[in-house]
Amino acid sequence: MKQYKNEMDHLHWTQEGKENLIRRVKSNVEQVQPVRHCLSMGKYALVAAMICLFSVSAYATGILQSATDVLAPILGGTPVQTEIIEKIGRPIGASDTSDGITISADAIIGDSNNVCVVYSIENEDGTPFVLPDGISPQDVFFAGNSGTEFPFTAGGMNGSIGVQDNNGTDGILQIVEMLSSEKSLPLGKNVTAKFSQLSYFNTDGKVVPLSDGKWKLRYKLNFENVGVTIPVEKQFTRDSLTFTVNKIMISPIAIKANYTVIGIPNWSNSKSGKMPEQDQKEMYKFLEGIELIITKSDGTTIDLTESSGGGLSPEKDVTSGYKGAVLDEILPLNEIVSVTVGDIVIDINN
Amino acid sequence: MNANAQLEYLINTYADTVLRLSYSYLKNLQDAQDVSQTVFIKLFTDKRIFTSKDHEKAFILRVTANVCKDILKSPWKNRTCDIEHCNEIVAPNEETDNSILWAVNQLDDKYRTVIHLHYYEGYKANEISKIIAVPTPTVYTRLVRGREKLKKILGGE
Repeated sequence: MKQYKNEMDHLHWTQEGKENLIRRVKSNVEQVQPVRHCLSMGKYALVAAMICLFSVSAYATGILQSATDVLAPILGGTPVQTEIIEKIGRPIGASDTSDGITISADAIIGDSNNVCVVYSIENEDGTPFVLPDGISPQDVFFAGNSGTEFPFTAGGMNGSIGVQDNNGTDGILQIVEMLSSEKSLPLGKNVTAKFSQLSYFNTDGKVVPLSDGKWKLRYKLNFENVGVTIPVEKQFTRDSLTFTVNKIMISPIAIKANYTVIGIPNWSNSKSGKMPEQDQKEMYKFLEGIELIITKSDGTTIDLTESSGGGLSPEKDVTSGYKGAVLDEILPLNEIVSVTVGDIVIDINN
Repeated sequence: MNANAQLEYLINTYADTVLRLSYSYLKNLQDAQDVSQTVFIKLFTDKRIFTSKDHEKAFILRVTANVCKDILKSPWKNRTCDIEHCNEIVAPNEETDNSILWAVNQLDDKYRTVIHLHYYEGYKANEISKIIAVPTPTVYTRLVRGREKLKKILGGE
C-alpha cells in the first residue's frame, strides 16, 4: 500500500488554493456573523415575534423551575451543595419548539470562566419523550453544531454536551452543557444556544436521526460568580523547563490554572499522518503532564490532571498555558485545603 | 491565537488531509473542494479548543467524514469543476488501470474510507471506529474485505 500513499500524496492544495480557501471561509462566515451579533435587543424581539407568527419553530417562555430542582440531580443534592446552588444558580425559562419537540433552557450556574447549563427535551404535546427500545439517553446526541455560542472575544473554549434522564419517569430528558472559556465570560449578556440534528447511536453504532428540528434559544448569562482568583507566581522546573504558576481560579463548580513556561514546544510541523511522537511528547511536557489536583479537608483528592482541558499559546520564547475543568459535583470552597499545579501546592483557606 | 490566525493554522496544517479523506469518500475533486470549505467554516465558527494535536486531527477527520456522508446522501453530487477553482488543487494521477489509487476508487466508499484512514493516515481500527462512527469489528471486516477486493481488481496481486 506504499504505492497508494505515494499516489495520494500527489493530491494536495496549491499554496494559492489554500490562500483562496482561507479567504472564502472568512468571507462566508463574515456574511453570517453580523446578523447574529449586531441586532439590537429590540430588533431581536421583533424578529422573534415574526418567527412566532410565520414559523412552526417559535420562541416561548417556559414554566420557570427552581434552579435547585434542575441542578441538584446533576451537580449534587446534599444540603451544603443545595445551599450553594440556591445562592449562585439561576433559573432561565427560555424555550423553542421545532418538529413537535420543545427544548427549554431551565437553569444555569457558573463562574467567571465556566458555565453549566441544563436544558430539557420534551414532546410539545405533553406525551412522554420515548426513545427506541435498547437506546439509552447517553446514546442521544446532536449531530449538528450545537450549544451556546459566544462571541470570539470569549477566546478559546472547550466543553461538552451530554444527554441524561434525571428521574426516568416523567418522559423528559435533560441536556447538560458544560463550557470552559479561556477568557472571562460575558456575564449579564444575552447569548444564543442552538441545537440541530437530534440523533442517536443505534446498537450497531450507526447514527440514526431522531428529528430534523432546529432549535434556537436566547437567554441571559446570569448567575452569581463566587469564584476566587488567587495570585500565585511560584516556579517549578520540569524536564529542564521553568514553569511559573501565575494564578488559579477556583469556584464550587470549576478550577482553572494559568501558567507560563520559558520555552516553546518544538513541534514537528508534520502535515499528514498520525500525530508524531515528538509532538505528543511536547504536548505532555507543556500541558498534559502538568498535575492539577484538588485536596479536600477529609484528605481525599480529586485528580484532574488527565480529565481537564486546556490550551497553549507559544509566543517568541515564552508559552502561556492554561488548564482547567468543570467539576463533576458542586464542591464547597471551605472543603478545599489546597490545589496542586505541577510541583506547586497552593493553600486555599489560609 | 486569534480566530483568523487559528483558521490559517488549521487550513495550512489540515487542508490536504481533509481534501484527501473527502476525495477517498467522494471520488470527485470538486466535491472534495466543497467539503473542505464546509469543514473549515464549521471549524472557524466552532469555539472548540483541543488538548492535543491527536484530538484536533481526529475531530477534524470526524467532521470531514460527517460532511462527506451528507453529500453522499444528496442528489447534487458529481458536479463538474468550476473553472475558477480548478487550479487550486493538484490532482492525483489515477487514470492508469495499474494505479493503486485507481483500484481503490473502484471499491465502495465504505471500503475506500477505512483503507484511506488505515493505510494513508495510519489509524488503527479502534481509532477509525470513532472517526467514522461504526463499531471496531465492522472496521476490521471492511479492511479485510477491502483488501480482498483490491487483490481481485489488481489481478490477484
